[in-house]
Amino acid sequence: MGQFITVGGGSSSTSTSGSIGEATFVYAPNFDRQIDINYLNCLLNTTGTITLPIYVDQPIPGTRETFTDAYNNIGSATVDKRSLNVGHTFIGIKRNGISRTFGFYPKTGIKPFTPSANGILIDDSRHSYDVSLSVTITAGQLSHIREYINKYTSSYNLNTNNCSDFALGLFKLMNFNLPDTTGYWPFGNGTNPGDLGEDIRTMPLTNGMSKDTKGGNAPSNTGTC
Amino acid sequence: MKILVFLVMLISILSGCKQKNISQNLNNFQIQEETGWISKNLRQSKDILEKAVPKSKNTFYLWKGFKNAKITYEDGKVINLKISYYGGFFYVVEYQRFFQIPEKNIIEWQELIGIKKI
Repeated sequence: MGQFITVGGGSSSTSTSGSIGEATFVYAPNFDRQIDINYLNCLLNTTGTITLPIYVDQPIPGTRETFTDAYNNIGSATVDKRSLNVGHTFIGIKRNGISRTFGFYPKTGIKPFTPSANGILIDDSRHSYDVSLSVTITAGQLSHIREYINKYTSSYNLNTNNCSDFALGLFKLMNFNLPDTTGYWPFGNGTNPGDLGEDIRTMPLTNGMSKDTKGGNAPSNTGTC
Repeated sequence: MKILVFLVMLISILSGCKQKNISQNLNNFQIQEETGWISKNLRQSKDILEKAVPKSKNTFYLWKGFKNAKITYEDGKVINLKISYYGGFFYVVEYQRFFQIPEKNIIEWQELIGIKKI
């Protein structure tokens, strides 16, 4: 009998008892939070410095743990499998008082042994974070981001193309190469919010970069056009 | 012995029923923001939380972060909630159970918890 885990939100599925590795991960988001090509329009229709933050919501703030649960337990033997929390990495863009925030999620379903699914970009405004790094980009680069996310059709893969991979890929596209440490979890490994958060905390800043290690909530979507 | 088993079953059923309407006798619904615990409109909170559907205890979720919230009842009892950023469901820590907001009430719920998309 299959076991089901819903990733991040949306409609639920049920399971029988069993280990994390036996579970089937199922995902069904509320699609009203999916972003489209118009999401960044207001940023393009104004002027001013453009700031690009990468936000990291670590499973256990200040540590490299790759997963925890609703009770902050760690380790696959002790975590509550009903409420596994792997954290999240997402992107913001700010310009002249206008703010937009989005992240990459699986659209349908993933399993530990077949951890891939179609991807979906979701409005992540007000999502909490533990650490963030901001850079400035040009108007040309902003247009590039808009095209990039509009054409982004890559599948979500828990190990090879997850939310952190998407965010790092977008930064790389902007010519910012951030550290990419591989972490491990039951039946998989890859880029992850736990390691990325710690990498950002310790990395030296170059010109134009700023860091927020206090955390908070990503801003609301502000500004209309 | 049979009476004992019956009583245990009865208590289990009754406690299960009690968990199904988490809005009953609700006195305060708060969400943790950067500035601290923010109380939400009581009438709105009751209206939406009474529609929340409890899921099977065997429902599994993999989270990408959550918002902390808590409900305080008229008798002073407090339960803690972990709310999905999608706004579609939440987890009650004390009951180890998920509750889902019906699809038709999602927007109203997202407005209440402050994550409505523009």
